[in-house]
Amino acid sequence: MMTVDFQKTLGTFTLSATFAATSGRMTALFGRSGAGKTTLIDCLAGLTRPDTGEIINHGRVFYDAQKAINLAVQDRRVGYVFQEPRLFPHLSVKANLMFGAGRKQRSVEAQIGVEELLDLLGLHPLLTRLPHSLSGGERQRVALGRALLSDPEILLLDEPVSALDQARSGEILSFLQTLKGRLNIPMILVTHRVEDLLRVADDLVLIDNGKVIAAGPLADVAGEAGFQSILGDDGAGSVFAMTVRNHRRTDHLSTLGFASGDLFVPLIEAAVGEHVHVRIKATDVAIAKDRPANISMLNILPAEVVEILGWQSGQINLRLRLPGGDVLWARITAKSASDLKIAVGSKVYALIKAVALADPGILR
Amino acid sequence: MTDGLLTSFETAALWLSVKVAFWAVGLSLPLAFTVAYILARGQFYGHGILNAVVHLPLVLPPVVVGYGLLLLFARGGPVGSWLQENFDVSLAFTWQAAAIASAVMAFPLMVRAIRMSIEAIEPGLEAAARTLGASAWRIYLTVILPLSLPGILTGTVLGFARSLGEFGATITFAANIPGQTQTLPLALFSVAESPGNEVAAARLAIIGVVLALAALLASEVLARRLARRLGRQERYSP
Repeated sequence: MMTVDFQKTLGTFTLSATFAATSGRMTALFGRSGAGKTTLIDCLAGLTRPDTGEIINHGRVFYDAQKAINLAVQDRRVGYVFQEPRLFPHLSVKANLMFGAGRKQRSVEAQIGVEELLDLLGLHPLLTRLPHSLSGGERQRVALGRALLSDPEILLLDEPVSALDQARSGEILSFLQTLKGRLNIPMILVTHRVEDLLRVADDLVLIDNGKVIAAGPLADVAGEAGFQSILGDDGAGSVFAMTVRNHRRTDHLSTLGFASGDLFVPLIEAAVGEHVHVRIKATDVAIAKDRPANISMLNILPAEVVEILGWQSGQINLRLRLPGGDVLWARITAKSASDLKIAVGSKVYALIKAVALADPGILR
Repeated sequence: MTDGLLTSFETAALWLSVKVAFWAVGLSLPLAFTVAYILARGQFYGHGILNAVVHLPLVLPPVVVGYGLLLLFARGGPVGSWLQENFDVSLAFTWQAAAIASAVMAFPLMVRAIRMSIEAIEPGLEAAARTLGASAWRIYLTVILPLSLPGILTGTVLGFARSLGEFGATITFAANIPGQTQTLPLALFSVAESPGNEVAAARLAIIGVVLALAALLASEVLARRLARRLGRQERYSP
């Protein structure tokens, strides 16, 4: 468990960070570029010094302004994976991996052995190579292995996949997914991509203009208006934590359940009972006053309008409450809203096309 | 008078030149690396002044540098009298003086080459090494030093070549004493001064060319090996 509460001023920009990160869970720091995410994570690592406040990890004080404590980077035991791999170009992959492995305590190794880690990351065939002969994905895998083999007590990941293509970033993300179950330390992921969030994050810390505007479990925070504004025009929507109920292989569909009902989605590769995050874009949700019959939409959920927000000219965002209390966002034209006489409190049906929930809408 | 291929006069000048250049580079290399690192990575008041002082020998007439050294190291000079009192040595007009003169003249070239190499190192590597638990000393030895090898190599060759060719500062500070301070350029100067020595002068000139070429070729081979190891496209030969 890491608790963070500090301020840092850089010129006219002030970063004010207050949140906690739980061991064994992936906490995502999410926000626009320039929101202060990298400065924040650099403060956790000790590469940047805060002005006031405190940072404590597993009872070890990293920084405490009042007690004038500022633990040196090399004594914090942080595993830091940077945006670019930062491998030592003159050292072999093996020497890079072992660079930080001289530390004494072996808490990570107790959970994942060196051999197993090399297997999971597919590093065995690369050990004698030099960094310049590796591909981008391979380099980032080595960087991740190097950070983990230094036996960290907290793992910091600064946009580790943003420079990679989709297939390579998928590999890294699924490795992180595996890692979560094995590593009992706080893991902090900086990202500005919703896809990465849905895939690996458990908790979400929303950062906007240097301030933490919301923090908590992913599906809860994702309903907040602040999340919608960060997602912007195309990305606005809702995120739900759902469970795989069953697969209808002949129809090529899967059924996912949550408190507000069931949703059909195109067949996904996940075992029955597994938890997934599903994102439904506001633009993929249609509204009907009566329950429609003879319609291609497989997913029809009863809902109540709780808030109407103007978007841009001619369009509005509706905040809907589903039967289980979940929040669903829908974007419709102002004309439809007035034709349907939509007002706060209106009982409506939310229609969601199953095909709109295909990848990357659904990711584990 | 011939001793195999070379005359004893030529052999003496050649070996003295190599000895002087070797000591000049050997003495100034550690200091040049430290100054290069400070100039490349340091942000402090007086950065520009240090940079200017380091480059002075490059822009001053060598005779001025030699004269300055003579004033410093002469018996009555501040460094000279200190050395005389504490160690009972006098450096002026010795081969050690020739080495000091060469070291001073070669210093800015070495600093420049090494500094460029250090500046080419990605600064993020040092931060990465710190997060992996490395102390400042360990980073210096295992990251900075090996990655600046190309610049150290270039600086060494440049410094060596500069020392072999050093004339003005040496003749002013160490004088032109055969067998003691008469390096190849000084020997060539002496021979060329008196008429009828064209052949002897040409022989000395050829020795100088062969020596310089040998140094360049050796550095080329080493630079290629280094470049291959680091997977870089550029070549580090001067």
